[in-house]
This record gives sequence, C-alpha cells and structure tokens, in this order.
Amino acid sequence: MNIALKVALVPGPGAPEGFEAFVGKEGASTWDPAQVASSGFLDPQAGIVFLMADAGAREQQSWLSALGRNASKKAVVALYAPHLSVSELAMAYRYPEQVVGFGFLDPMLSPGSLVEIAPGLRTTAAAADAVEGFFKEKGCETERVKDFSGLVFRRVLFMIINEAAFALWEGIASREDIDLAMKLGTNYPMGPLEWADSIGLDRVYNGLKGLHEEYGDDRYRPCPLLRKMVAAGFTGKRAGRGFYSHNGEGASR
Amino acid sequence: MENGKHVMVIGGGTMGQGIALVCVLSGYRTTVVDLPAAIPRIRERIERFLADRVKKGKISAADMQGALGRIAIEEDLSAAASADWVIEAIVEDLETKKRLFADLEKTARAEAMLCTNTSSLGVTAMAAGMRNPGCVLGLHFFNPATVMPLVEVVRTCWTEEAAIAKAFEFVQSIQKFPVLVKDTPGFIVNRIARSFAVESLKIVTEGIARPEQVDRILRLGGNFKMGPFELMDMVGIDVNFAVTRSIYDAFFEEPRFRPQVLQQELVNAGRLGRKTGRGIYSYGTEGKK
Repeated sequence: MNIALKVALVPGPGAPEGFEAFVGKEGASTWDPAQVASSGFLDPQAGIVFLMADAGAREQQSWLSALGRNASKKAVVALYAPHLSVSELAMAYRYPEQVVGFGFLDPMLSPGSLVEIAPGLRTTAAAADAVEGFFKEKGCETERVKDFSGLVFRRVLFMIINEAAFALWEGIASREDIDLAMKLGTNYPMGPLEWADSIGLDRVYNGLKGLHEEYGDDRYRPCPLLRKMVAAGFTGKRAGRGFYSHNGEGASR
Repeated sequence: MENGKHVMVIGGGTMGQGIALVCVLSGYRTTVVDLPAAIPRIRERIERFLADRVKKGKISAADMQGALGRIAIEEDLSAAASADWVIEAIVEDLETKKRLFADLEKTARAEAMLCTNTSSLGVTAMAAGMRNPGCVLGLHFFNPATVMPLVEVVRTCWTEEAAIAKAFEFVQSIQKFPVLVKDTPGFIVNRIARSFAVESLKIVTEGIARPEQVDRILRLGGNFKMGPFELMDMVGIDVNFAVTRSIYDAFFEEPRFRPQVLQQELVNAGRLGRKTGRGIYSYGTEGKK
C-alpha cells in the first residue's frame, strides 16, 4: 500500500485522544465534523479518511452520509469503533465498497498496539488492505476479523464492564472490592470499573447498546446504572467523575 | 513463628492442601482432616511442597521444620474442639456440606468461625438451620491458594459484623487480600469472569475471529496476561463449563450467563484442555501448543 496517500481525519464526538498525533501532521488534514455535515467532505485528494467518532450508530450513519456527498470514489473510509456491523453502516456512505471498520482501545496508539481490521460484505480487498497497511507501516499489530458490532476487544471488555456494573447496581460488593477482586483473583490488568472510567462510560454504553440492537438479545442489555450515570454526565475520567471521582491530581476516589 | 491460633481444614484436595499450607506458613497450628486412605498422599504432597520452597530459597529449612511441627493430618473431627477457624474444602455437594456443618456445630467452640471454601454453592443454604448461623461465612480462595492473593469473604443474611471484621483480620494475617461480597451466585470473580470466557466462545462460534486471534487481540490490545482460550485450556474446558452452567442455573437462566454449545461439544469430545492434550488448542508432550 502506498503510505504517501493523503490522510484526512474527521474527529467526531468521543474520538480517541492522541490519534491525530499518531497519524502525524505531515500530509494529514483535519476536518471539523460540522463543516463536513454542512458542505460534505472537502478534500478529494485524501487517500484514507478516518472517521473517528465514537458515538452511537445513528450519529455514525449521519457522518457517513455527509462525508459521501463530495467524496472521491477512490478514497477509503476507515470507520472507528463501528457500533453496528460495517456492512450496514457502509450503506449510508456513497461508496459502501470503500468503507472499512477498525478498532482499538488504547488511550493512545503506539507501535506494537493491536488494531482490529473489519471489512464489510461489500468492502473491496484493496480498501481493507489499504487500512491494514497503514497501521502496519505505523508499527501496529493487526488482526483481520469479521465485521460486527464492537469487533472483538470492545465486545468482550464491555460485557465484563456491564457485568461489573450489574454487580455494583445490585449491591453485592463495593466498587473498590469489585475492581480489586478482578485484578487479584483473575489477573485482570485493571479493575472493570476503573477501566470503564478511563474509557468513558458513554462509549461503553453506546457499545453495549449497539450489540443489544444488533442481536436483539437481552444478553447485551446495558446495565441501568450505566444509562443513569451517562445521563447524569458521570462518564468517567474526562468528565471528572464516573464510578470514582477524579478531581485533583489523578486521585482515584 | 507460631501464633497460638488453630486452623482446621476439612478436605485435603488441591484447595484444602493449599489453604492449609498458607495457614501453617503464617504461623497457625493447622489440622487437615480427610479420609484415612487419603492421608499418606496429603502428607507427601505437603512435604514435597515445603521441600520445594526450601530448595527455591523461599523459606529456610528451619521454617519447613517449624511448619511440619505445626501441621497434623487426621481422620476425625475431634480437632474442631480446639479450632479457632474451621475451613471446609470438601466435595461440592450441598447435603454433604450441611451434614458437616451440623456435626461441627456440636463439637466446635462457641466462638469458632465456621467457613466454607465453596465456589458454586450457597453459603446461606449451608448456614440455614444451624443454631448459630452468625458465625458461618464463605472464605473463597483461588487456585493455587499458595499463589493467588485474593480471598472473597462471603456474607449471608446472618453473618455478624464482628465475624466479618474477624475474617478480614484472619485473611490479612495469612498475607492475602480480602474483599467482601454478599452470598450471590459466583460471588464477584467467577460471575464477572464469565463474560471473558463465554463472550469469546460466542465470537468464535459466530466465526467473527479464530481462537488464536481472540487470544492475541485480548493480550496485545487489552493487556490481559492470558487470552481466554489459553486460560480455558489451562483451567479445563469441563471445569469452566460446569461453573458457567452452575451460575446460569443459579441466576434462573439469565441470558448474560448463558453457556455456549461449543463448550458442550468440546466436553463431549473429551477435549478438556491441557490435561487431555487437547482442548481449544493441541498440546504436545511439552504442554505447549
């Protein structure tokens, strides 16, 4: 793949921090999503357009539709954290065969990070190769997975967080004990509730809602506590408060 | 080193041995109780473990002699009369455990704490019908107990605050970290960890990714020490399936805990993990895939 292809970023709400720095300024143009929404995408030279919104499925569909208005047929659209299957979301874009899903959850990507690449049913091999090639050139590890809501890592982690939220909601243990138990009892790198705080409860909630919608299976229904906290604005570290309060120098409670 | 307190561990299987070793190495006089036929093997395993610790320089030869002097392996429950802590780790069968607790209540001192290491049965159901259910609680250790630092302290509706405080002190005295949890299916760890295994199985069943991909994604992307399939093969596919089923049943078929057909298939095929040479992965003589 030709990395000299021009890269454009459309960082919508919930975009992962640091992705712009990771892509590198050279040759990358960043577009305000409002600008894209009002006049369509304005950089027909772009080889890969990263749509970095981590919001609900409906929002992602509306970005895709706006993006398609002036887009070149050759541009590849890399869709971050698809909450519905890529095959379905891609239909909102003018050229569905150019849309590729991908996902990671590091706060900041670095060489060695793992990125999941998920082409949809209509996606061409060339488009998927372009996105995978981009991350490989940046030193990332990749895995090609089948496109589905949340891909692999988010889906598994969000289910763990959801269960931890249910356990807290039902009052079986304190937040501290839930986190400590998972770290010491089964070697998790972080407690699920502190993990949720660092990812953002809104992202977790949107991810679970996507899975619930896709499957129509109550297995995936988000814990009411997550919904309540998101509605109250307690979305985690970035908001200053989630399962823990984060005011002051990174104090965890 | 001896701290003057007496722990009695009933059941000398893997968990019972591990718990007894942790207690005796922390200075408790420790009595392990099991059937006469099992005693020589338990003694041998305990001696081998301590000798290995000496060889690795973790404890001194004198520590080992001290530990051996504090530990007894017996075939009857008479030690209960002097025990401060009784921890049962016998077969996971509610009726058997209830009978044991009824017997213990007759012989144990009034201030003794009666504990169960159950992972899948209700502590409340064991305490029900006892004269003093306030002194009954769960002390759930993790395998291997000599290594894993967590103990879930499980309270029932009768467990007294004083008993919980005593349990926390005891767990800390054996260099473990206690967490408090209400008696509910799977407590904290086995309940929340279901998703790690079962959601991964579902992903593989649906062909979204292969097991080695899922393991790699969760190790590299998520910083988990082991991927879910490596872990399942190590623990045993049958053991994992049994825990999943028991929690699913205990939550009255809550869909979040629903087992996967793939687990049943692997068990049917005898592909139980490392112990049978094949589970999700195949293992050679070296135990590696």
